[in-house]
Amino acid sequence: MSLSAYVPIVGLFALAGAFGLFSVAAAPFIGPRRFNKAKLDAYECGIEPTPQPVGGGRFPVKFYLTAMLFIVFDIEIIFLYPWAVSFNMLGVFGFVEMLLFIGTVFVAYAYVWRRGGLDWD
Amino acid sequence: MTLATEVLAAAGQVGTGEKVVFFILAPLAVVGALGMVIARNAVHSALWLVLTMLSLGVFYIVQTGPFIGMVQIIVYTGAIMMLFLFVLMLVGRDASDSVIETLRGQKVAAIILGVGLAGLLGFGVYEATRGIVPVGLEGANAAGNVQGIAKLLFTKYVWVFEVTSALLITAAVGAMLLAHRERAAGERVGQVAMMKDRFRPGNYPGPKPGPGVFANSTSVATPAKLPDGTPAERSISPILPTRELTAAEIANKPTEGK
Repeated sequence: MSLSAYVPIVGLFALAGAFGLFSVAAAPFIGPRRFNKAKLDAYECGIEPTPQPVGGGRFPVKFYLTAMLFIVFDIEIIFLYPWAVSFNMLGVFGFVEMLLFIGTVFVAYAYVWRRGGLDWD
Repeated sequence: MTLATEVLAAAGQVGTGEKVVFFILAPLAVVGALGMVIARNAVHSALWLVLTMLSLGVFYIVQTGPFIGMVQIIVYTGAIMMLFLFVLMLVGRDASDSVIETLRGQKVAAIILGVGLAGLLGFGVYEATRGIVPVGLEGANAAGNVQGIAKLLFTKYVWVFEVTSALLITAAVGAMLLAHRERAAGERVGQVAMMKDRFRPGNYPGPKPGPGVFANSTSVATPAKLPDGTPAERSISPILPTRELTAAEIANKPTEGK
């Protein structure tokens, strides 16, 4: 009884999983097969692509800023969730509170933006 | 009657749905935790951890804590995992732990101490909570779990909530300070300047030819030809001797009428 509200979500997951399995399983049967000479050719591989990524594919630290901005707005979502659920109960006071909160968080965004943290270089 | 109160009315007994979810997801959570520890590749470790965290999130939801469950999924499997992976990529995903034991007996000691600590903590929690009946949860969740949290967060703890935004500013400013390199106005190199820098010395502006392009031979030692006919030295390995037809051999042969 208690979890009946989540049954549609479980159903959705099951549907998504079934779709994935069905797609993979059905592809060999219903997909067209047209072979040609090039497809049957031996594919030569194993040679490392010549321009190797700098530092073995490590990320530049500048993406830390992007990561941190994502977290900031992620936390904002956490507060928006209960606020949105009980918006009617909270009334104008809650609305003003949330505007203040979003305004303050936007200061962080504006700071990063105006100092050029979002520029690609 | 809302979902939460219905469940709380039956507090103390575990419903069938909860049992089913628990017995499916609990082994998965344990497998995820073990996989995280055992996996040699750090990225695989992080992905195992995602499995554990998602299972925990579903557990919270099943135990009528939808807010904490959603927070677990959004913040932990979203943001925190992203930070973990970011740090992994920053350090280099090839950096894996050494399997060589430098201190003899360290592995055994670590296992014994780890199991001991887990047992101690588990026993402590068990002893501390034994026989305690939780009260007040029904009242707090009367209007629903998320609504109850919203009511507290936006009335009693509104000051804390607003101050959190200042904390978020601190996070952004700190990230700027650590990761952003300030550039003076004239220091920024634009695309036009970069292009001029590259092509002013007279570099050939097209893409670099691959081996065998315009070649008269299929040998890998045959250099590609640039559009002006000169061999492209970059197209072959420098250790290979260049094998090429002579100029006379590749010259256009006269045809009839010419």
